[in-house]
Amino acid sequence: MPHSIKTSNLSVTLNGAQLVQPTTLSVNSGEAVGIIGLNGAGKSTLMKAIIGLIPHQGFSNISSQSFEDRARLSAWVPQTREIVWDVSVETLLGFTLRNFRYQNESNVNLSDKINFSIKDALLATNTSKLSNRNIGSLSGGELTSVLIARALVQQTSTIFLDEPLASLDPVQKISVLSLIQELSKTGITIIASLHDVEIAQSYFTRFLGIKAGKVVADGSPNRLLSKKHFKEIFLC
Amino acid sequence: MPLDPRKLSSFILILLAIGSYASLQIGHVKIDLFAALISPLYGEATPDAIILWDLRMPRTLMCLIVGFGLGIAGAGLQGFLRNPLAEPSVVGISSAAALGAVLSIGLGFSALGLYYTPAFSLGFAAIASWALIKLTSKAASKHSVILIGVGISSLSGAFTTLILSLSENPFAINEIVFWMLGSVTDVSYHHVLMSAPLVMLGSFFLLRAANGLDLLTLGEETATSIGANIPKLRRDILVGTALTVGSITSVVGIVGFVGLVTPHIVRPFVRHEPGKTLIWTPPIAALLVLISDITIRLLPTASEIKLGVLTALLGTPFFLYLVSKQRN
Repeated sequence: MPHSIKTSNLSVTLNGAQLVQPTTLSVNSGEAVGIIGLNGAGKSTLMKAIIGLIPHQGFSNISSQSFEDRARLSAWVPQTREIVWDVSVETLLGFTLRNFRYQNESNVNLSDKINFSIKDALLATNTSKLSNRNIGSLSGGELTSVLIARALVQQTSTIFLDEPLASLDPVQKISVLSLIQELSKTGITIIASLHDVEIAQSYFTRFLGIKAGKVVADGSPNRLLSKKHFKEIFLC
Repeated sequence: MPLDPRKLSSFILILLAIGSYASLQIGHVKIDLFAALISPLYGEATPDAIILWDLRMPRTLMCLIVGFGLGIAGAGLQGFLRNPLAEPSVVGISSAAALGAVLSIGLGFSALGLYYTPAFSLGFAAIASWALIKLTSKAASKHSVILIGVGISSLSGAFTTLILSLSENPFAINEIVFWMLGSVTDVSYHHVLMSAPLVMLGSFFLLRAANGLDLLTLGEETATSIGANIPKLRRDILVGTALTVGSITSVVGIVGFVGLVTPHIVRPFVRHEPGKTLIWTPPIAALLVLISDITIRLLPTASEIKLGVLTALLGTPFFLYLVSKQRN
């Protein structure tokens, strides 16, 4: 199975402190990987280093590419959901699509291509009815789904999600997790940092446990939530 | 309520033409505008022609330049900082530019050449822009951006007042008022030629940022992951703001709130898209400055109110309204 993500001794150091220790890992295409650990363990930092959003040492097959090529390989769904300008959902998705040039699509009108891809993404995330709504009017769960739709519009093989379940109620969490699972089944690789490990365990194929910047456990959710590994990841 | 771009641009051009006509026509002295316009063709220097060509024409052109430049800088700053409260005078860039101009004049550089004062002005505007962006780069809140700007503004204003107070110029107080309050009353073609090329160059840098500002709507991390070059975007905003604000402030002083108010007027018509706001704000801001200047000329005051005073009187309540709206 081809690797979607491959890192070799990937680490992050800031002001002399090592936030992520040298990490070598690979993720196959189509896997749904949950990164679990305490606050400040390095979950988000590891993901940002893999994509190249922060300075790092070592190798990642994504961050070693140019800006443009990285954007074609991976999409990012942030934890911070503050969108200052009250644009519509369709406009927000359009910003992403307009950024990519369609060099071989000279026979297709660009605005047709934009509408086609946005419609697909909204359909896949069950957010078609939100297309003309303004971002400010969306609930937490709706906004998360819209941001995942935005990531889909980027048409990448991998989507990284930073705390996708943060500030959501239980129903919204299940909705987002179901969406993530559906996307994973279509072959998209999903990497998500998580706090809600119990609720999320049945939606992911693999968990990575991080403690103090180091991957201390790697395996199925059932295995990592066993007493032994749970202590390793979450207790001092 | 988005409008057709062609209809919108035609409508704005018509309004600008009407505004410019009114600006050339309106004043303390009534003139025959058409006769004054054509009299140079006959080699005549009639009083009406002198009033038109030496006073009202440069003043009208300067209003357009001031509005255009401050409007685009305001829209650029709001888009880049993702802060609807940002604009050059609120975040201290205008005050820093005024300090640069005052230093150039105080140290005697202005006597050496036409572009020394704008160079000092835009240099200080660039330093203030850089300081603002640097200090707010780590996810500062909207209000802390404004507080930092107030700090930059206060410091610049204090130094400006100090330099002018220490100067041997007996009219130092008048100079302070001029720089702090902004005025287009006595501008000449010299001022137009000094500022127009730099405003155009600055606008070029800012317009390059339009697509990047749209992507920044999603936050810096997401924008980077989509392929936005944030360092380049930052440079374009910094250089563009310094050029436009620095050159305008070096000739007319501080004119505030134009760059704050106009993007808010434009946004509902462009679906709140930052890139389109950047493009459509300059002509509307130019119109607003023209209207403000015409209003000043019509007010029955003993001496003309400064342009910066009127924009502050109108803009400050709007600014306070925005702050309270955000808090709610």
